[in-house]
Amino acid sequence: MTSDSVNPATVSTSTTLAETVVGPAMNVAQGFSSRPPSLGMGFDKALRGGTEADLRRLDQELDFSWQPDLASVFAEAIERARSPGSPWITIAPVLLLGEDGVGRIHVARRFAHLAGVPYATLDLDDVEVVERLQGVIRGPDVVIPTAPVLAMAASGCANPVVTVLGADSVAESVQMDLARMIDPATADRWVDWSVGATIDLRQVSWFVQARQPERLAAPLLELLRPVELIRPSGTNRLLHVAEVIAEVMVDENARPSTGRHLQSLLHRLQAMPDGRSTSDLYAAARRVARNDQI
Amino acid sequence: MSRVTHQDGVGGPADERAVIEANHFGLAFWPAIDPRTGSVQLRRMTSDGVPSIVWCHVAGKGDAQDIFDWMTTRPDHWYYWGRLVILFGDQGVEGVVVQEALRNAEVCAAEAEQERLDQEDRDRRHMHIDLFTLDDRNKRPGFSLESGDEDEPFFVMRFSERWERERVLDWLRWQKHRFIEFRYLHTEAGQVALERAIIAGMRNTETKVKTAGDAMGGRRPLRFWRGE
Repeated sequence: MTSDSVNPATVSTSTTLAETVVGPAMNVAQGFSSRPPSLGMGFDKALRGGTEADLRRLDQELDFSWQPDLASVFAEAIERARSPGSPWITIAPVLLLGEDGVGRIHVARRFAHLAGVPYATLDLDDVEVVERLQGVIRGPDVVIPTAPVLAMAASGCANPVVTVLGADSVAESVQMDLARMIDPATADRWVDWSVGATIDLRQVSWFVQARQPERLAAPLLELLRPVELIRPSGTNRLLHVAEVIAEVMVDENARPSTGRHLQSLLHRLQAMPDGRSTSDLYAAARRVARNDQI
Repeated sequence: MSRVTHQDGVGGPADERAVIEANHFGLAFWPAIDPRTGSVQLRRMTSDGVPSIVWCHVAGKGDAQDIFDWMTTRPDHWYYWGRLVILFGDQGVEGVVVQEALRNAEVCAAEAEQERLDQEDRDRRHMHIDLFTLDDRNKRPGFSLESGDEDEPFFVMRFSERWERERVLDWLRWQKHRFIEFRYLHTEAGQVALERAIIAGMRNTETKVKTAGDAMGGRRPLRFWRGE
């Protein structure tokens, strides 16, 4: 998927009474009837991450130089956002590979934060999430939108970052549904019964995770660019730890009160054994951040 | 009192003349020092190819040099420190660089002082030379001269008979003030030269003592001699 695939007619700078969108925006929903789609999906959604400030922040702050495959993916996305006609950030769908705990969610969340776009998780290990994806309706139960649509509705943003978990552990039919969400040829008319509309998902940045990529259906696999994440070591581990702390600081809305506190936090996390997962580092940093009031 | 300032592209060409930069060919970040202001800096190359100051810490001239020296010996960390500035601001580097560098300088100073004291102690013990008699089983009688800082004697002299050794010791035990001189002679001229010097010194003294009528009869003329 590329940004060029967006129909220029759907991209606008929109100002409505209900929602004010400054900058590029697009209408992502096409209702099934004359009634407007629910959850405000009928209003234009912003296409974010392409302002000069966003791109400068991404240039300066987004750094995964120890993950060369990923760094090139980000660099291409930033370059695309700078090109005329698509001044927003969208990552071509990637398949994040690598051993457990290498930091797949971390890199997706850091990217989303620095790009200024919302982040959501589509967890296919959750049966209810799969049922939502397949449009299963159970009697009087409220039908909840799938993660990317919910992210758009809640944030007013047409290009959220979505991490997909468990894609390699679900049935092929579910994988094909996921492929339809991702495939640029079909992603512009994703049927979402909860909002009563087809939704254009083409600007979503997909980060699909797989422990066993060989279990992914070929049509889905073909849509994804494989990115192998490696476990950082040496000085790269210092950089990785610093990035995790930065993520915690954002999540906890905290700043280290002094250099000594930050130094202490860095030392504590760096002293953890090399084999510890990124989520372990994250949990430890958050615990310290909360307890020490850094 | 030190203070931290964050600058970006601060400092004109006139200011630059005083600044000393670490070798940084091809690196994204590098340290620099302005000895005039006693400030240490972390710099990066902008996209325009112009060095820019991303972090500056005014530490005073002595501390700034210590911090700069510490930073320049860790080029593999320059990028990491640059990232800390970007992620956490000035205090990101303050804790990791300034405090570590100053702590390191304190440790180095303490180690240097300890090394100086140890060296003084070694020198003192080196200059303290003891005389030992050697009566090992199955070996000829002898004596040795040994410095306090060494495990082995630097000089050993053996004799066929015990009385020969005692005759030399009658003179040598009163020559402690010359042991350093003996050591130098041994170092400069070797074992035989020192043996000759000792024997010559003993005989010379024996002659003097006999002339003065103070010598004992028999094989050990200096037996009751108490030095000069």
